[in-house]
Amino acid sequence: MTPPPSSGGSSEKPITSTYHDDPEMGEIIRDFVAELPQRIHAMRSAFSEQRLLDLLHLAHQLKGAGGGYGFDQISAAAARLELALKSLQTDRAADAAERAKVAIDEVTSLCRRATA
Amino acid sequence: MSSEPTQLQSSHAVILVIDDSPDVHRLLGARLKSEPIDLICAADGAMGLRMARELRPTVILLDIDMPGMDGFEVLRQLKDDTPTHDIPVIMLTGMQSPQDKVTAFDLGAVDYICKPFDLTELRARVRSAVRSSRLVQMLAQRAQIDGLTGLYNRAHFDARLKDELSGCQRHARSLSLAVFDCDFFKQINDTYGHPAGDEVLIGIAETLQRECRASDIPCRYGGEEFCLIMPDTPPDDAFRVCERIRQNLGAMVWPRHPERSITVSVGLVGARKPSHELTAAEWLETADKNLYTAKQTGRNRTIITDLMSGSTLAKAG
Repeated sequence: MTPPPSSGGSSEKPITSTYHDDPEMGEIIRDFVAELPQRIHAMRSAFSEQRLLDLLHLAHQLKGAGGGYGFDQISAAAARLELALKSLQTDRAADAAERAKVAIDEVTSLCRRATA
Repeated sequence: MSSEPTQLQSSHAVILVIDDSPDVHRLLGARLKSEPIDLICAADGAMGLRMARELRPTVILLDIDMPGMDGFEVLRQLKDDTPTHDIPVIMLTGMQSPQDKVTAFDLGAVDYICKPFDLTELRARVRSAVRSSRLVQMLAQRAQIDGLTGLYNRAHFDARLKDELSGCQRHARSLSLAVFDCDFFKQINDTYGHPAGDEVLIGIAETLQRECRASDIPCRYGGEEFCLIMPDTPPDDAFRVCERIRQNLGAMVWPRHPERSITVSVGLVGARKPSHELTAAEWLETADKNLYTAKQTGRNRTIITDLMSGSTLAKAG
């Protein structure tokens, strides 16, 4: 498995939930953030082992969940990953695989920057 | 009165979430915590259908994109199945194309919420669906209730007798049916006026409700006739129930006319194991014949037919 490229500057800044000051959300946001490393591991493993359907399912779930916890950027990146994977299903060209790799790196980077 | 689905007895609405994502269950749990609702969750379409049939939730929140059975198929089955047909379904999905929305509404969804959902909007839409559901439920119930006495009406009785008879025939369980008719009711109306007659009917209904068991189903058949369906009740037990009701009515003192006693005649029919050959209409006809005999032989009495033994007995007050 290739580690995601590190990007410097402002893109390394932590991202917080838009609901960070909502008392009814505090606990579940902490749980969500705590589980993100496992999600990333599962997604990157599925990608490197070319289990596309598993990865598609994980990306779809993250797309639906991220915004709900106040991480719209994660949802948007997961949606781009889902789209890239769908095009990879129909188009096996090298650039489709490259788009999927860029998308999963983007999701990984955002998830690593997420804080409760 | 008979037992109804749980949610009718609860002040809390029951919301069933059918979604394969544990995140959605967790988010909805947090987001709807302050609402007066009970939230239950199903992780896939098949489990959701089972829970909907068993629990009859007030509203269903349904995802579309699920592995196995997708949300459209779940919705199709909910709308095809009588017990779940009227439960409002809100789609809660990441699929945002106009075609998906049109398909959902065509299949019978009442609303469509896109993920990620906005808290305020979600709460407002769930509240609105709960309100509509309760209104529809109330109207459906009222259509089955007699306006004067508050008992179930003739329409409910006809459907319910068929259902109970069929259930008792299938499972070889006992069943009894009684028809009560107020004696000399026309005379009461002619002598004291229709408002007094109405009071008598309300009094009979109250006595029926008070004296019957929780599993019995008292109904106003029409005019001064009342029916009592007694599931899981053999004829001899039903006879004791009817006699208790008849004697209580006869002993009642009517506040406006204490000099006048009110009596009822009762036609009763029952069987320990109802035969498949007799229809609900034939059961009612037998009870009605017994009522006629009770009237002809002096009123204020119960005539019973045990369909298993073929015997007919009379008990006079």
